[in-house]
Amino acid sequence: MKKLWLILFGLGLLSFTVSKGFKLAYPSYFPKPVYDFKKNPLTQQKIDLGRVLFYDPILSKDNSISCASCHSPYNAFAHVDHDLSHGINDQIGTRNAPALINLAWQSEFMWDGAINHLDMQALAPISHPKEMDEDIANVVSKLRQIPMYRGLFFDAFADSTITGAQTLKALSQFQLTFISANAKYDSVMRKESVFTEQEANGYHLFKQHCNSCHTEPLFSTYEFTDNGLNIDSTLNDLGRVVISHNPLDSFKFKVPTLRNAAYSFPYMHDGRFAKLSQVVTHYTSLTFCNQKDKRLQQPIILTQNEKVDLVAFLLTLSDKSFVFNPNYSYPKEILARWRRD
Amino acid sequence: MYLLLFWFATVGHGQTTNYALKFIPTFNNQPLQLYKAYYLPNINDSITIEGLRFYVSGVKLLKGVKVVHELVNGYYLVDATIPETQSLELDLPKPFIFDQIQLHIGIDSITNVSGAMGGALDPMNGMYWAWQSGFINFKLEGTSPVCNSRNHKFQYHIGGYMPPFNALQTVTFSCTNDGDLTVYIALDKILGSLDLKLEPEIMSPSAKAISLSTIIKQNFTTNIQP
Repeated sequence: MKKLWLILFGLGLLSFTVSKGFKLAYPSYFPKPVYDFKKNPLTQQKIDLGRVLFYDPILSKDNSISCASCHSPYNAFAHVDHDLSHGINDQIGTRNAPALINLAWQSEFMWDGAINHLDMQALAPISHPKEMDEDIANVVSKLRQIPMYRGLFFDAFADSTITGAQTLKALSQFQLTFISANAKYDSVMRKESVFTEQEANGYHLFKQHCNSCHTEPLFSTYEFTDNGLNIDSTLNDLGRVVISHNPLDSFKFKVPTLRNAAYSFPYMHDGRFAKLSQVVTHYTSLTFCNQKDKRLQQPIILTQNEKVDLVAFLLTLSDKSFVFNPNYSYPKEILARWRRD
Repeated sequence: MYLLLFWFATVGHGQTTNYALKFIPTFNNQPLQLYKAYYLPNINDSITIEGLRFYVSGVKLLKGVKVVHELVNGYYLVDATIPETQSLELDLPKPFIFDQIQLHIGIDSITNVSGAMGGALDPMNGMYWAWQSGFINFKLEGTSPVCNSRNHKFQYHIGGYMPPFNALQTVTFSCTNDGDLTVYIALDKILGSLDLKLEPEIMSPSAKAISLSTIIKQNFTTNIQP
């Protein structure tokens, strides 16, 4: 018995020495991440486990829906061409699946900020009756029956028990690697390229009219605000007030990042706009309403050409190396390794 | 390495003082029996309790107003269906002189925003709200024929950490440091304060949850009241 314990302890040490810390790379002009990496230090093994979990429909009740079902890497982890996403048994939810980009810089998640930490975010879709309709305790008991997961958890945590906390932390680790900082905008910031005349004019207009909410370099302040959208009477979504119980938070939703906007259509919390030009037109045609954000009280007036220039600038936020990053795609090489073993 | 570990284990043990904090849920001053039909006067009907779980955290030993020891990172999930969880063995690093014990019924707001944690705090324990982040501090479930709900169930899931609906409660008990402390939870009084007929469910941070958390706190006592 004692011998077994020593062997297990030795194996634990071995695997700790194998698990090398993983350093996230981000540009010097980015602020400091808000995610507390000390509580969940990144390792390649944990990121790999998170990646396998992200693509595995085992997280849903009938093994039909994975995280990637609504968060596809090729759309900057949004659900392309779906205003509202469909989950288990083709049920339709009430909100547009947001793009997953630069999550280490965010502390509140979902359109209304219902979730207070990236680690806890996955619990919401896992247990939502219209998304995965599952329960984290049941996910864990399903994972425990699969030898590959016992192995992946052992590699990641030096422990093959498998817990809910480990499952959530691994999912966080994979998502924390979703850093988009290699768009044309970034190469201009790094002085490796220059904007075209049209893009430069669009950038000028952006700084004048958009930057106070979609602030560089993350292209969001991640605040909750009322951007003047009329309520969709088929959804009657009141936004953040439901979470905060503060009437001043009525019709407020999180400001999304504009990075990779061209890949993550449609737009707004209910996906009502299919094109960036429609979004720009929304802001230029706002009528007076004192409820909406103060920064939108002054009318935004743009000519047709200026609107085109603004959209041209927004396209410089498309990060091809992000959406086609092989480290984010279906983990076939990790699964192949386990099939071979 | 292993010798060092052994040394830590023995030395740690030699100095430890064990002090037990026990929680006994009661109904009519008797230890609760789950799944037993009790009579509850204010509804003039029967009531059956099927589950009771709550968090205990932030345990502090006090001498007068002075904190002599604090159990940092001590989070305990007491579960009426698991007798072992009803006795918390506090491993004290050395003997302390104290005359009161203070504890939280629930989980503090900082821990609520600290991400995924294992052990008692693991969300797989069913004491975490998935749709809106936050721990459930206290969960009491059962049935009564008077409940206007599916299968006549009542479900009180009390939690919430964000103002104005922070349901965390702190209680302080007088005690001696030479014997264990037993805390009784008078469930007949907690349930007797509720409108089981019209409000058989409180399951989100709200003013109702706050007022119930206050009643729960008042019914954590160290003496059985007649």
